[in-house]
Amino acid sequence: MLITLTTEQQAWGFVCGQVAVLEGGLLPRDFFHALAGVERQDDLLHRLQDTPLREYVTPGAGWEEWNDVIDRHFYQQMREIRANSPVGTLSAMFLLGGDYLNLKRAVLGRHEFPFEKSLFTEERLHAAASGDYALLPAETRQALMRLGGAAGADPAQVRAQIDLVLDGAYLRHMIQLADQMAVPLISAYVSDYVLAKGVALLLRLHAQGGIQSRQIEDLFLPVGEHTHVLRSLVAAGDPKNWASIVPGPVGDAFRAVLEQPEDQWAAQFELLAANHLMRYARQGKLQTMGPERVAAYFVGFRSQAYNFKLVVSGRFNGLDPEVIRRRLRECYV
Amino acid sequence: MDLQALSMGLTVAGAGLAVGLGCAGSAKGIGTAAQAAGGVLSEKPHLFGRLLVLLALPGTQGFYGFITMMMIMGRMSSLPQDLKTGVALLVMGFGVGIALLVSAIWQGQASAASIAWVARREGDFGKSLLLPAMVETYAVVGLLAGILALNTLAS
Repeated sequence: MLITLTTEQQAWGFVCGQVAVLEGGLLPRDFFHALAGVERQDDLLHRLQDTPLREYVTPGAGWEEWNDVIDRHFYQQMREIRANSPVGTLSAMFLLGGDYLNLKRAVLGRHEFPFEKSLFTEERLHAAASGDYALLPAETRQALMRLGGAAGADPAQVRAQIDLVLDGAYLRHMIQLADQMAVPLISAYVSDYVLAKGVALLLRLHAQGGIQSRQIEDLFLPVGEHTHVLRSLVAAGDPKNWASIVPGPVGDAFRAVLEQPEDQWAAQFELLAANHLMRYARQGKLQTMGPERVAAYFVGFRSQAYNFKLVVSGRFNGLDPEVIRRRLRECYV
Repeated sequence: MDLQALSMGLTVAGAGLAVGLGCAGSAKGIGTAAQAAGGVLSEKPHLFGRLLVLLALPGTQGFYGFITMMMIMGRMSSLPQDLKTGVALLVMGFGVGIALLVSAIWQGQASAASIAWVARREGDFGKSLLLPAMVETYAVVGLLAGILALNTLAS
């Protein structure tokens, strides 16, 4: 899986220098292993204050505020890197998840958008919440038009349909941004990311009572080069029949998951797929200057934010340390 | 055709190529390293002194080019003023210039990598100097080869 890194990317020199310093603040997996085993909540908070998160903590913050602290840290660094990057497309790719979560709220008619806004500005989201999608990108507008027949339906069903439509739009948007970047390593990462997201979605739908092929076709697909794979999975029905359909390293992750108890398939697959995607980050880390280096840092930084949230919320909700440790994602360092 | 004037022209062109290519390479190499250093310094300003050394390393090729030019110009009057010598000095200046140009560009990349290294591990500054210094070797070899060729022509 060795992909050629781009050369002559001097324009990324400054931000890569900045990333070289910020990488020093990323924490190893051992840290999270130890953190998960801390017995007392006060000790856990003290340990957290020894991390780069300390700059974002308000004195006397309760544990329930830590999720916000982790998000503030994540988004603040993303904003700084975006400001110093020669193009905003790369940061937009990694902030796109928040954009689409905000958009889901807007489509539901809500006017509060708590996630970081990148491509979908506050103005666009308020317009969307009022039913005006004109300010959204054409691709997203077209996706939302698929919801036309949902009026008057059960609210839970409408919400599920919105999720499907916007999850599909999100993945297509990711592919589009990766195409704009035209960097082989980032394209390969996004390709596997999209496949993993698609398989994880189908696994979750299966766990929730079955996959409705009509719905997937009408609301979710297509998602680039993996459309035919996802169609084959839907046609195969039971995930036990998917092993030979899912290609590449994502397929390896899926086959490993089938050896686990069925109720853990979705969560385990997401973990193994995230660990596989971290391999791209490890390769991008070898770049001296170029978008691969920055993308690699983003992947590592996002994984760290996930691990922080997992440990903090897991410990404060009394989860067994071993359960938390098993769910920890691979780290960048 | 005035062969003496042509020989002199070719000699000056060789000297110009040596210094021109060397300086161009140094400018690009330092530019590359400076971009990385700027990013690091925006987060860790106290590393300025150490990074200055690393980003100045690709600048030496410009000076080597200048030395080559001065040596060619200095020896011009004592060398035979024929076409053969003129062509030899042109090719020598061009060869040295290419070695300086390419080594300066790659030294800039090596310096940028070392800057990223020092950004992560400040204590490794001494070791990190070795990476761009290895590239420097070939700029020095290019310069020495030029000096030897010039001495051979003069003897």
